[in-house]
Amino acid sequence: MVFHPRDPAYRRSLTRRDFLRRSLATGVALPSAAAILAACGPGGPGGGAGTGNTPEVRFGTPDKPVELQLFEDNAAIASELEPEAGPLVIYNWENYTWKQVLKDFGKEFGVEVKYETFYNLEEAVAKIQTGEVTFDVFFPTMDVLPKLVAAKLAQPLNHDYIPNLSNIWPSLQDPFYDLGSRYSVPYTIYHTGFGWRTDLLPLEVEEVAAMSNPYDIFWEHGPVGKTAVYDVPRDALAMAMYHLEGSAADPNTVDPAKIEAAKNALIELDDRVGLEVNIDIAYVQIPEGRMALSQSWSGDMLATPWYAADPAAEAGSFRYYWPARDGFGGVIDNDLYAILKGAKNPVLAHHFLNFMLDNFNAMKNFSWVGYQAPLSALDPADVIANGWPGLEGYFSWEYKGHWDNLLPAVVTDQDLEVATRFHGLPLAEETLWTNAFAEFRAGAS
Amino acid sequence: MAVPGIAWLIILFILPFYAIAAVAFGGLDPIFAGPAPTWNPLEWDFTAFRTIVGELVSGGPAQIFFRRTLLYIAIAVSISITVGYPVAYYVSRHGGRLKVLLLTLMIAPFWMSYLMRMLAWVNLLSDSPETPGLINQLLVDATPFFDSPVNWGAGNAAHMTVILGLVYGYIPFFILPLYAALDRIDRSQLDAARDLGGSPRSTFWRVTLPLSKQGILAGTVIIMLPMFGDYYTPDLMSGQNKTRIIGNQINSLIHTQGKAPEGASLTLLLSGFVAILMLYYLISVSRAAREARR
Repeated sequence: MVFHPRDPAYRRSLTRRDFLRRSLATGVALPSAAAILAACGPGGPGGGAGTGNTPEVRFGTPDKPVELQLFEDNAAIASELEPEAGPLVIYNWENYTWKQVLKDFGKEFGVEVKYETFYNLEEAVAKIQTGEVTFDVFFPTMDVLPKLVAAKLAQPLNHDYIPNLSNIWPSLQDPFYDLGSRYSVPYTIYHTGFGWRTDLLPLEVEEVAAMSNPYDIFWEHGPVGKTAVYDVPRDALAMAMYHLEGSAADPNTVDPAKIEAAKNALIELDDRVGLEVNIDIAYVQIPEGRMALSQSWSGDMLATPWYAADPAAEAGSFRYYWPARDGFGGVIDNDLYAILKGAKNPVLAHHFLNFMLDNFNAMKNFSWVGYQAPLSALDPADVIANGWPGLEGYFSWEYKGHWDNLLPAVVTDQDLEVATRFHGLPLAEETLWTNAFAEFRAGAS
Repeated sequence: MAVPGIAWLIILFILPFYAIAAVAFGGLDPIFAGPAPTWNPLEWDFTAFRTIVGELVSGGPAQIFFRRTLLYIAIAVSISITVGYPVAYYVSRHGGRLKVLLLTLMIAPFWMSYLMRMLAWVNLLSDSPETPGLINQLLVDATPFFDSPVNWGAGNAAHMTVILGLVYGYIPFFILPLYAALDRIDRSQLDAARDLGGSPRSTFWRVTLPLSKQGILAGTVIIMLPMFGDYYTPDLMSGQNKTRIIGNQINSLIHTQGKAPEGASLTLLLSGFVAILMLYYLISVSRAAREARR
């Protein structure tokens, strides 16, 4: 859906009434922080027209998709503008975009592209908020995007510049967290399964899939000192929930008892195997042999051959499994592109988004990063078997061998149908998760 | 005359401390739940501080981290003294014309960044089946005690690995001030002890060691302070929950949505604790100076 500031919907302000009602009920002056928080919540005023000038943090869910608000003082750029002279400033995680692709863009548009990095999103947002340094393109997660919009730190997109959005899976062209892709377009997609090495944990995928609950692999087969989970509260605790409840688990639950049970399951696992809790567990520690079994984002697993000391000898032993495909539940997540309101090169930034959504450029970036764009043209089995025209030999699974054992780590649009999506939670409910994780991380038992 | 000192104190201590207090007793950004410092002390909110104090009293995460940190640092400092004292003693007493060379060689590895040195240890200790680290290779090939590589980053070995990482990372900063203290000891005092019938051992215990006490204290303070703030050594050397120390918890809290005031509160409490240790050190130095003037 193409949205433009001249669209009549832009001037409607239905959600403002919701906001006034909430604010008066809580007796606070306008606009106040309490009012903004009162409007937060899964679904928020889901499905509203999404306009009005009183900011609300709107978290969408697949059941209650949301249109993010548009503001009269934060309009999208007009169509058919000439791109600026740059330099275009990208603000992203380290090594999360291939610099060669950035150079390709710079060459095509005759501009310099700068790649600035952040350590985590809290740090990134803090820096963006100060306004002291301006960035053009930012890579938020879907729970951060609504906050950027409410804080008017992101600008609406003019889809006239982004025709390549049609290359993306149709379901993500109009996603639940940002209906109409008003402020974002998808960057990468990944599921959260687990990876292991058969030389250290001699189990084949078929054996794991035949378990009564494959998530039990951590509790039943996790090798002592060589088992790992991500240092991310929602991911780690959700895995424990799937272990306890199977496909009935809700990784967005706000039930304290369920979160407590998941925490206890992790502590029990920690007591048995001495869990490694880190971020580099899958893409670094599995190929280095420091870990035998690790929770793993699919994109991390696809990068493993690059990190093996002897890929020809080792990469054939790497395995990845995502239980949701066999009905055991699992999570899919995706990262986004957004253009910041303070961007000095908004037209160029739109062109950059369009460039990165081009099939070839997206695949080229995927070949280096390990994380894929959700491209309709991407047929995992075909790409693993035959590569991509013009990118022969670029992919990790072609590195010093042919690692079709990594095929399960390529995400398909059918995966979305069996997956659960994480969605943003209001602070009080998110705190239930972070507190439980902090207790687990204290290593007390 | 005092202006530079006062400026130093304000810029490098009072202002940062006030900023941490403003975060600890402040609020949260309503949208991102990041820290929203409250600069007016009259408006300070002590909720987060009370939460952390409650954890300390009730055996919650803060107390667990505090106890583990104290234990690690106590052991690391003890090892540093045990290893560092003979080294400093040898260089100051027997280094002769090679003193400068010995000191240079001792600190040469520390020209590399701390991070790189820790990563080097990760490789040396690796138990990778394909490429075990040098230490595991030696243990398996050259000793009869190990059949397979040891996972130094897991289980009980992880505690030892992290503590030895702390010792390795900071021990030169213990040895250097201790060396200076030992080198300053007047030789005539040692000769007098020997002339009065003291054996080498009793001369050491009754003269050298008491006279080097300030060097030991100074070295201890210098390595203890950064150890309390360290978080990357446990992360790099182990990564397990049971080896995390208070610096890891502060780092986690500061980077967790809505938890920055708790992280800042823990920082304040840690600062208070360290200040008590510093106070003891200052009193000790002052007492030693008074005794020296008599």
